[in-house]
Amino acid sequence: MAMTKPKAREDLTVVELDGEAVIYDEVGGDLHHLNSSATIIFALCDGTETVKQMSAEIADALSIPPQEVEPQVRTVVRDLRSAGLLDEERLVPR
Amino acid sequence: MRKLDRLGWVVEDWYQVGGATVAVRSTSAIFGDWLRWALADHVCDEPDDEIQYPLFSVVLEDGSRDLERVGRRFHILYHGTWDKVRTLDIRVMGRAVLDEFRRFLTYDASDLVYLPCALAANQDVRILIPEVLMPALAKAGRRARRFGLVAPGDSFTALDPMTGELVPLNTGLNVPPDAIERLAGALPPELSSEDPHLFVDAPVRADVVLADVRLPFDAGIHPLTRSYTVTALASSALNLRSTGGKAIEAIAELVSRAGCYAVRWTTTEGLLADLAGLSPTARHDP
Repeated sequence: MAMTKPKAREDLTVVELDGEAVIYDEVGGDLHHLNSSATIIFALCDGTETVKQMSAEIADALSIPPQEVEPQVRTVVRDLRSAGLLDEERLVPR
Repeated sequence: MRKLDRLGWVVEDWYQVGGATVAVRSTSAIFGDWLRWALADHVCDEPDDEIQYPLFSVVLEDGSRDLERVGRRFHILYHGTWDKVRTLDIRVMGRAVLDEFRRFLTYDASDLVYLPCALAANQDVRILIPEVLMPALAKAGRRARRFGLVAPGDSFTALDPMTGELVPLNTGLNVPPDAIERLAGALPPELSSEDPHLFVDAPVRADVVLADVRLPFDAGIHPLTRSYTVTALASSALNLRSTGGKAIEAIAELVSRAGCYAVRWTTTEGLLADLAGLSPTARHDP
């Protein structure tokens, strides 16, 4: 069993305004607009934490149970991955 | 287009600029002569094919037309059937036409970020409006002035990627420096009545940015988030491919100190009132 540590691509242009991000992918020529929740999760995608660890961090900051946060984080990470905004991920042994 | 076909065109010429082939017709032979002189490097023959090329139509009230029949004195610039500029000042018209040619040189430009947005003003509030609002403002003519609005002269604007300020166009179109004065001099002075339109002649900030978004709003002005405004503006940028990430950063800088709104309008009167109501002190950021 292995887990991944999501990491945002380093070649993207990211601007953040009032807590929401606009991302431009020069390779594909695509523009993405992230709401505030997705922006927080995207910012945590630095390749150092698994989804579980990211969820725990957010849950801790918001004082809510991690199990409530994790499904949403997982969905956003999946969306970021399908949009091509994450690097090919490293598998890390559990 | 048929309605326009009856306006009494006396001249039609063809030009090539930035890889585009463009036709310009006018009700004024003097204007036609002037444009051929000003854009001498770009004059070409009419293409021998059936392609629909961009067509600009310039109605000029130079006294050669039956003014009784026309009943108004505005000079009008049409792009297709879309009236972009109506003005009493031939200098404004000359500049607007030349700037439409400059637009064809923006797509590959990488030094400035070009947006299909026009600069208007309400008193001293500078408002960047989507190009699609230009016909409404142009048609409003004197009514817009009564609302305290100054209409745009250009249908697109340039952004400095370092500062996010609106800056003069810099497309390198080869035009004699005295072109506008030559046009005004070739026509009676009454065709150059004072009729302010906004052009960007020096770096300037926008106080308010309106984005062209199709959200299910009611008629009126609606606050937009800055990030959504950046997305809307960037997706319409004329040279996003050539400028890449720096376009996004420049647009973010542009909106960072501006009130950002979407506008939906059903009547010209309503639109004018909404634009007139925008002021820095009345900003209500989302």
